[in-house]
Order: sequence, then structure tokens, then C-alpha cells
Amino acid sequence: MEQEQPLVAATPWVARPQARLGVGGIWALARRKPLGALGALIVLTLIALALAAPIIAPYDYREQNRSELLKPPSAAHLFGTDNLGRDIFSRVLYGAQTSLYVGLVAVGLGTTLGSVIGLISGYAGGRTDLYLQRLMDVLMAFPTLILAILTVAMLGPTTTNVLLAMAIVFTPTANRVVRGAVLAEKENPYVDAARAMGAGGGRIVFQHLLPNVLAPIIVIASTSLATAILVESSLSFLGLGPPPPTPTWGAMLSVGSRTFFEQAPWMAIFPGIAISLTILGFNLLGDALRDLLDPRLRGARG
Amino acid sequence: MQAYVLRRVLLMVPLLFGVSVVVFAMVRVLPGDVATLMVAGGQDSGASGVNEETIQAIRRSLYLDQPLHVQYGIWLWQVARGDLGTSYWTKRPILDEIGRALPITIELAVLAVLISVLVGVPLGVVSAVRQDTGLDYAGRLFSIGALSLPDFWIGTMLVLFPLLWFGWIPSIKYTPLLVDPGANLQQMLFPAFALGVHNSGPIMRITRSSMLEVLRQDYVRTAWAKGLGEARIVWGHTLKNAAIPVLSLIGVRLGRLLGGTVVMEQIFVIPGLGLLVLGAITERDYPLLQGVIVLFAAIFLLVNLIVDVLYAWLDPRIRYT
Repeated sequence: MEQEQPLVAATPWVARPQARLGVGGIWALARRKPLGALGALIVLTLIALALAAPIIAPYDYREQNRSELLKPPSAAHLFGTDNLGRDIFSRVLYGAQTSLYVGLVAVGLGTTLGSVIGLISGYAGGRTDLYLQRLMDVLMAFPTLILAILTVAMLGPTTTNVLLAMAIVFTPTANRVVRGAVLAEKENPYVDAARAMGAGGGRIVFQHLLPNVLAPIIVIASTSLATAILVESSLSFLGLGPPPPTPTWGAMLSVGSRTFFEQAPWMAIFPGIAISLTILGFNLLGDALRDLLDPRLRGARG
Repeated sequence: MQAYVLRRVLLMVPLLFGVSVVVFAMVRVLPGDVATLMVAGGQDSGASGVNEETIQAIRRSLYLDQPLHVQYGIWLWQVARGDLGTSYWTKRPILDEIGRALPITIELAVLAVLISVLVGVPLGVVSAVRQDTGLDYAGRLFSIGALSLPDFWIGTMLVLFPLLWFGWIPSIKYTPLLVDPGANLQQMLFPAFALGVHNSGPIMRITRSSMLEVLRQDYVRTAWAKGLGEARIVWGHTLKNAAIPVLSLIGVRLGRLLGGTVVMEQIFVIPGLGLLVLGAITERDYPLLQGVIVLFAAIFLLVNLIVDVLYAWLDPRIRYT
């Protein structure tokens, strides 16, 4: 469909996704992007495992068995036991719950907030834009993990605070992406048309612009998820994550790699594999989504 | 060119102000009164009159009883005079503590960046030149893998497997580079390697996509037609032009890298800024925490500034945005 080209070559920022979603459509998608499909599979499996943890975990994650300290992997304990006699397999499963919960909620919050700010800031322009962006710039001046560390340290290490800290970390990134998209989309004729029909700013932003910037939002959200798992496990590793007895992979890795590695390397290896696999899954998925929805983002944010 | 640089430098100033305000505000929100902590030293203070007076005296001397903006003003004034205050925890001037720790963290960061470039760029080039071959897929696999392995996991494994296999760990005692390069590098190379490999993933990918773009250019085709050998074309001509986005990425990734140094310093017991931050948090050392975090932000901003200026210098098209 021919669109009148504005003077500035603002081609639509978002490439319309070509695949249709239906069962056949998903299969075709998977064949086009096998790695992405693999990523999606990993993520879905993880979510399933995390949700099913109370059912499939052979032991409670707090259950300590003093007679089975530091036992290697066996039939009874698939991943072995730790220094308090707890079953590592169960703890890894419940740890998935923690990591996925924190990651999904934090990215959800952060991306939503960042997108809203980006939408408003990009559409309104002028002083609103200026002030909001300065604020975002200040947030972006902090190295990622350091901002998270500072926030959690200040608020206290509870799960909710970890969530908040991570949401703050993801807000500026979403904001930058969405604002860029809005700035480009804003020039399109449909915006003028809506305005001519009497649509107010809010309506234009949320009913017209938002659906068209949804693609980069999805991409940014999925790449942020990989980062989220990394940040959450780094925080837990440093002791600033969700507090015990909540099992977190980072904390398990931290304990397992300190005093007990020589006697019980499995304490550190399995959580580490879990973290890496999860991040890998989200990365693959994010890459594939980005290639499908907006190739222009490729290579921009490693 | 000068105008561009000047503009960017000037922009940094309000940003740093903003950062310091945010850090200051966050730090004062901290639960746990420093004065009480200092006096009690872990004991329950009870209702003893003496303790109360001492606590109040300490609070007054640290200006903790003043409204927040007054405290901020006082701090800013001190900083302008070059006095970052004294650490509550170590009782030494903060400037000294930072001065001691900063070069160490910088060394770690520089080594990590070097390794990530030395690993990532050649892999990216090879992957681009041999696109869609086995080498390419191997390279891309490596880059995704490296990106997915958390840097602290790589670091941990680097410590632990030599321990398991050879019964050897890198030394925990820090020796400065100039005093004994061998001992220094022995300690620093492991964390630098972990950080470097983890960050080489995105660098490899950017190099690859950038090279792919450049290789399609007309002047490359001309070089081929002239009969220049592949090595000369790839390494001599295209790489220089493809390197520019890599530079930009280094600036972006530096944020992750600096965070990574904090974790690495904890694992490998390196007395840099990261350990300083973690210690300050545990000890509720407000001034130290403020100083170090603002410094981290300043480093990040400065490096990004340098990267952007370099970028503008190498590619004149950017300058006029």
C-alpha cells in the first residue's frame, strides 16, 4: 500500500510482522527461526518447571536432612545435597520460581513504566520531553548493576525491593526505545488524521501510537528478561537478593562456590547451569523476536 | 569539532549533579541510623542517658539532624573544596580510599575491555568473511554462549576448576602492577578474562554485522577488482571502517562491565572500588558510598564521552547531530 513519503525520510519505524499466528503460523515461524524456537522452548519449559515445582520437587526446599550432608548426585537426590542436607534439585526448581517471578515482574514493571514515559515524552515534546529525558539520562548514567545494588542496599534486601530496584534499571532502556519509535511514528499521516477527527493527545497516544510501537516494546522486553535473570542472580550472589529461606540460584552459587566447592562441586555447578540456560533461552528468544519484528534493532544493544 | 566536544563536556556537568542528588537522596533513605550503629557497635543501647547524648552529639557533628537539602549543600561545598569527607568506617579520608582503589578497578576494567576486543573482534571478522559457513555458526554460537554465561559464573569456575584439578588458586593478596607485574597479572587476569569473555559476545556480533555491511561496499569490490589479496582487504581496509560501531558498543557495555567488576572483586578479593562499595553498604558508610557511586557514574559518563568524541572524530557525519 503506497504511503505518502514525508520530506524527512521517516520510513515506518516498525516492520509489520509478516507471520500470522495460528497453529500453522507458529510452525512456520519456528522453522524460519530455529534458534528462536529453541529459546522459546527453553523458556516455556522453565516456566512449566517453575510452576510445577510444588508438584514435581521431591523434597521441600527447606527440608534439611542432617544425615545426608554434601552427598553427590544420586537416585534419591538428582543434583545432590548441600551443606545443610537440602536437596539441590528441589532448590533449583524453586529457585526457578524466584528468578522467573522477579524477572518477569521487574521487566513488566520497568518496561511498562519506561514505555509510558517514552510515549508521553515522545508525543508531547517540548519541556515535558526535556525534563523527563534529563531524568532518564541521570538514571542511565549509573552502571546497571551498581544502580540495582544501590537501590536494594538502601531499601533493604527483600524480594519486593529487589523487584523495584530492577524495575528502575529497565525503565530508561524501554524509554529510550519507545521514545525513538514514537518520534518516528508521530510523523505519520494517521496521527494527523486522528487529530483532525478530534482525538485528544491521550487518545492518540494510547489508541493509535501504542499499537504501532508494540513491536519494539516486545523486543526490548524479551532482551531485558535475559538481563533481568543476570542482574537478579548477580544481586543474589552478592547477598543482596531475595533473602533466605527463599531459594535463589545466585545465592546457591555463592554458597556453593565458597567453602564447599572442593567437597561438593555440584552445589555450584547446577545452579550455574540453570542460570546460564535461562539466560540463553531468553537471549535466543529475544534475538529471534527482534529479527522478526524489527531488524533495525539488530546489533544496537548487545 | 571543538564545539561538539565542549557541548558534550558541558552536558556532563548537570548529569553528574543529578546523579549526586539521586545518590544522596537514596543514601539518606537508608534504614538504620549511622550514629546509633557507631556508638552501639552491636550492643543494644538500652535507655542509658549517656548513650543517648553521644548519639545526639554524633548526629550533630555529622549534620544528620539538618534537613536534607542543607546536608546536600554542606556535602557539595566540601566536595568543591576537594574534601570528600572522612569514611565513617575506616576513619580515613575518603579521597585517599578512592585514590587507592580507583587505579585497581581501572586496571581490571581496561584488561577486561582489551580481552573482550581481542577475542570478539577477530571472531567477528572471521565470522563475517566466512558468512554462513561452519565457522560462522561456531562463532555465533560462541557469542550467544558467552553472553549467556554470567560473568560471575565464569569467574567462579575459573577459580574452582584449577583448585579441583591442580589444587591451585590465584593469590588473594594484591600487588600493584608497578611493583610486581607478574604477581599482579596472576591475580587480575582471571577476573579480567571472565569479564572479557562474557562481554566479547556482543562485540563479536557487532563486529560481524558491521563487517558484513562494509564488505558490501563498492570500494571493497574495487579493491578485489584491483587484485588485492583477501588478507589485505579484510584487515587493512574494511576493519578500520567496521570498527566504529564496535567502539560505540564498548561505551554501552561499559555499564555492564563496571557492574561486573564489583562482583569480580568480591570473588577474587581485589581491593578496588567494588569492594569499597560493598563494604560501605554493610557498614552504612554514607559518605563513602556517595563518593564511590558518583565516581562510578562519572567514569561511565566520561568513557562514553570519550567514545562519542572518538566516534565523531572517526566519522565526520556524526558530528553535526
